[in-house]
Amino acid sequence: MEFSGLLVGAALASMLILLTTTAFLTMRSQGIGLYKAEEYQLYCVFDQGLGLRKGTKVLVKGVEVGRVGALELTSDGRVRLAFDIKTEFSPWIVERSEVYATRDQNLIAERIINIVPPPVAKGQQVLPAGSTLVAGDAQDIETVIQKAVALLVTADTLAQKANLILNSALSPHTTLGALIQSRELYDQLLLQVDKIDQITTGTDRLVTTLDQTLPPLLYRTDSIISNADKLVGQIGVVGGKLDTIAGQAMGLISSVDTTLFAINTILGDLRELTQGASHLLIDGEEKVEKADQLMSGLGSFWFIRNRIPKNDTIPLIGHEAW
Amino acid sequence: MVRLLGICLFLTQAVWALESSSFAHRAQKQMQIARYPEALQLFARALKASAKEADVLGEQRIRLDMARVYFYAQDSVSLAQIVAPLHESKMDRPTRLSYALFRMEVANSHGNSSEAIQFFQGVSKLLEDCENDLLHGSLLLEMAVAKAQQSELEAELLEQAEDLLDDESPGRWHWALARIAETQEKFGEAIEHLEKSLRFAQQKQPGAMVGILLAHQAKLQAKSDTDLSAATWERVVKLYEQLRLENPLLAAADQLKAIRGELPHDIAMLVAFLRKVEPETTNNSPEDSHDP
Repeated sequence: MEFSGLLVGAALASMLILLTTTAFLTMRSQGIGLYKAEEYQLYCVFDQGLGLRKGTKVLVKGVEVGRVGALELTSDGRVRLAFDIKTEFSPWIVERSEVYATRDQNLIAERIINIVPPPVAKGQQVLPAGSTLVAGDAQDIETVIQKAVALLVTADTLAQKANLILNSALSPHTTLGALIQSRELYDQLLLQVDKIDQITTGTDRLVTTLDQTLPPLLYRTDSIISNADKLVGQIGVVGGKLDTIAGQAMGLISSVDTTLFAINTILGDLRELTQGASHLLIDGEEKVEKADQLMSGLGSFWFIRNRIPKNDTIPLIGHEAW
Repeated sequence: MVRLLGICLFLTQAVWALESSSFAHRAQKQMQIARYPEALQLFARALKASAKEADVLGEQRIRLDMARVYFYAQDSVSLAQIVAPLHESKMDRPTRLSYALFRMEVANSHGNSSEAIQFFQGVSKLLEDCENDLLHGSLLLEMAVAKAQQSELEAELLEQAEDLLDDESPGRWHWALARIAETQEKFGEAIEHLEKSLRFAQQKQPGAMVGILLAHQAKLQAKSDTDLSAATWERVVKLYEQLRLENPLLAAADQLKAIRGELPHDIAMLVAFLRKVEPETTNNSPEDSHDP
């Protein structure tokens, strides 16, 4: 009977150890209780959280590194996700890592979060706990469809605009249509282009000619300038001589001035003299006139008039002897 | 008292020798020394004075003297103007005869013998009582020239004139004979008489009369000897240059140019100056011109 009890005890002990070990390993693998793994939180903000929930796997290059711990809406209508990442995988999540949502295995599999480190993670700083990852576009069929739809909308808008432009181009009432349909403007533009071409060609020739003729001209200009400089020097000498002549002329003018003053004085004296003579003549004339009147009166007496011989006052000439 | 009256009479005479006569007397003096521009000025003053004095006879005589000067100057326009107011009714006998002589001389110089004869006939009655033989003889000579120009020479006229003149005016005598010989185309004889007349004129009638004779001589010489004629014309030009009579000078210069083709340098310059034109260039230098 004692052996059977020992056996039972050994069996219970073995079973207990096995159970404990199993529980330990299970708890350790699951991270439950005391054997829970060490984690830190990272965040990310998506535009939408379709297919994402608490417990969604978080993978790095396909390896599960954690789970979505929480989802919440932000004030601007976006979805903020909190990731519980195991600490041991923190070196693979650096500051330039990008996170996006995708489907795990096929188009209908559940969504997962994939963190993509940069091509060269070495040297990048590890994101500390509480950092926010850069969110990329979800790479799933829904996102593709959304983008395709947006692209189609844009294409439709472009088509409408192109249609509008085409209609404008085809209508002669619009500026564009008139420009395109009228050949005259084209011809005028062609003409102006030809003219510009000629001008350009002529300018080229002018520049070539100047290049050829200007150097000799400038060389001659130099010689002309040097000759002019010599001439100016000679004129300076002449100017000095002219100054001397001018000085002598001034002396001569002053002498003439003195002479003219003397002449003026003489003329003044002469004028006084002639005035006196004029007065004398006038007085004499008056006296002669009075004598004339006296003699006329005397002559009127008959006894005098009869005794005065009658002589011709003006003798005749022209028949003299020669 | 008598002495006083005598002084008054003398003064009266002196005073009555008034402006017009004194000017006229001075003008005649100027004429005698061939200063004709001065003579004309004095005659003009005498004319004004005679108008103021209302001396009609004096005015007629002054006009007659001025007309003679204009005749010498070949100024026919002024001559006609000064002669126009002359009227025989305002003249006394001697003045009329002198006027007739002047008009005959002018008419004969222009070849207008009919007018000359007309003037002579106008005073023929006055000649009957003419006491001035010189004047009478001069009139007869001019009448003979006029008749000769009409080819009706009357020898009686010449004889009467010769008697009256009695060799007292040989210059005038030869001058008339020269013109008569010219009308008869006896040019050599005419030139001889002209030369004789010229000798007397140079002594007693210096001035314009000498110019008239020289010009006539040059015209006659041109028929036989053009060089001699040109030389005489040159003398005429220089004479009139001295007398300061422009028109006869220019006429003589034209005659000289017609003979020689061009004028001597000094004469050309003088002519250009008088005519107020640019002098014509000549090939003759001043050394080529020669004095007779």
